[in-house]
Amino acid sequence: MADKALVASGLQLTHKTRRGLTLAVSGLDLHVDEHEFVVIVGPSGCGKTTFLEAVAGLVPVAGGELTLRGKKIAGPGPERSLVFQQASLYPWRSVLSNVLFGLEMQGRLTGQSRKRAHDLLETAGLSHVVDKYPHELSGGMKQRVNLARALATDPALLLLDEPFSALDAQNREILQDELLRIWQADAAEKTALFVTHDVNEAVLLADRVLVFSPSPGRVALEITIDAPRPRGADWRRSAEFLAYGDRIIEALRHPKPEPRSHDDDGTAHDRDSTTKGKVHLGATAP
Amino acid sequence: MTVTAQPKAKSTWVRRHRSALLGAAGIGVLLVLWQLSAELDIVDPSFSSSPVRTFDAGVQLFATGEIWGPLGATGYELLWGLGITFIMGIPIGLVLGRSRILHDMTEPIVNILYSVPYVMFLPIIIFWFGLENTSRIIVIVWAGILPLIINITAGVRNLNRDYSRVATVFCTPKLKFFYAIALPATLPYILAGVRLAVGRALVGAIVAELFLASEGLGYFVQKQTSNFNVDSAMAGIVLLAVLALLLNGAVRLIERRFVHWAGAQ
Repeated sequence: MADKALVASGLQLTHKTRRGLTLAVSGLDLHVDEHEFVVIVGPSGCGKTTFLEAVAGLVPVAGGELTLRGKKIAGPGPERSLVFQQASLYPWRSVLSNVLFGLEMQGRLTGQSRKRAHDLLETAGLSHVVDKYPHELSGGMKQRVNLARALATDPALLLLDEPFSALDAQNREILQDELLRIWQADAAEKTALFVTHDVNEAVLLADRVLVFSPSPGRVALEITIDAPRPRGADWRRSAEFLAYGDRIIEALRHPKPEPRSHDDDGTAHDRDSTTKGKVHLGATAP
Repeated sequence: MTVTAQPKAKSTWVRRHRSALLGAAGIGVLLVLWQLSAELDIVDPSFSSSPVRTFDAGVQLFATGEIWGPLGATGYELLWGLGITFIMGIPIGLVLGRSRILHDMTEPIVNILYSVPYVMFLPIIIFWFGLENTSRIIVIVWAGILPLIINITAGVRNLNRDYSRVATVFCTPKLKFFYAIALPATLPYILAGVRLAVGRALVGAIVAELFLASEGLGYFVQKQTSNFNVDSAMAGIVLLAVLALLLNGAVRLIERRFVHWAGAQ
């Protein structure tokens, strides 16, 4: 088995609400191997985004351990990049300037890193809009810039927070294919952690899918997607693709969290019977 | 090709500048009505002047050089007043926007100073600082700085949460955050505040000149009116309007150059 890049053990995360702190994630154990593409699927509010934000360093670890390459995560770092759900581009910066933002802030603007940024813009099909401003771009184009910005700093771990959820079905498919293409083209096939509620998106992109149970989130099902890359339209339409999707949907509808050593409260089970996971079927559903 | 293209180009030019042209037409209609009223003796031109007489008086004011003194005095006050307003107001606004404690402590004071007509304090200001430039500049700063501070504070406090999140993820140092994100993100608010400040400062300057009667355009207009020299007074007012339009236009130009991205958000 490959080296483990990201490891969470007995992880506990909270988020602030009006009533105080609520548990977003409790007793979470999972790992992501180097060069692996892992997708987390789960219903809304299951804590999957909070987990991703914790890995990005935006949310503090409340309990347990979260390590990247053996080092504890305590705040953001240049070896991690996040592709935001909303493009969140700076409107006063041109496309190129937005893509260079991370490098600029980290004081890593060199001839080489600039060239990398230009190559990324080229790969992402953005070379004709480098001097344009975000308000002149379509939603799909903005998300491409969002992706290029995250890759420009050459992170070891790429985090993606439902990056295509705000796009229309057609654009979503195009961007999914492009993400695969860019990810495979990018020299070292980066380690990627992708969060979504779209089952088809998960099966299309992932080496391994982790299905989260409703809040507080934990891994209810783990499936290794055994399909060769590059994956394309054939894979989307294959019988195996649909079979994988069915298994995930089944797990989302009837989450059966495996009993784990960190299981210290029974509330999760009570909630399971009352909360139905919101399952989103992508445009490719038959 | 060119024969058919020409009228088309002309009509698009008209369409593009339509509101400006209509605005000019409105002013034209008003001037014609004014002139007609004076010509037809509906109003007495010696009390209400007329466009032609105002124009003549204006030419005369420049020809004799009589206007340069008041114009220079008002310009001098405005330069100092607005300079102090910007140099003090922009940092104060930025700091009040970032610091919750300072903001909460000063908010009532700022609101009181902003809502109470500063004209009421003029006699006291005269007590303290006399009738000279200092008092006039203080009135201008008082008039202009509060809307500037309020606008910038609101701008900094409304800083988009996503901007900070992106900055955090990409490990932005504090100082860089300030000038690479907080400042450009607040620039539309700063310039809107500047535009408000310029307008109010101009009113402040004229009010100060009316009260502290000694020099400047406001004093000039008042003096001409008291001498029943309405033509010159009207010319002075027109000059003031032109000054206001120029200042406003300058800020608009800066806005178009630096915050072209803000309108389309």
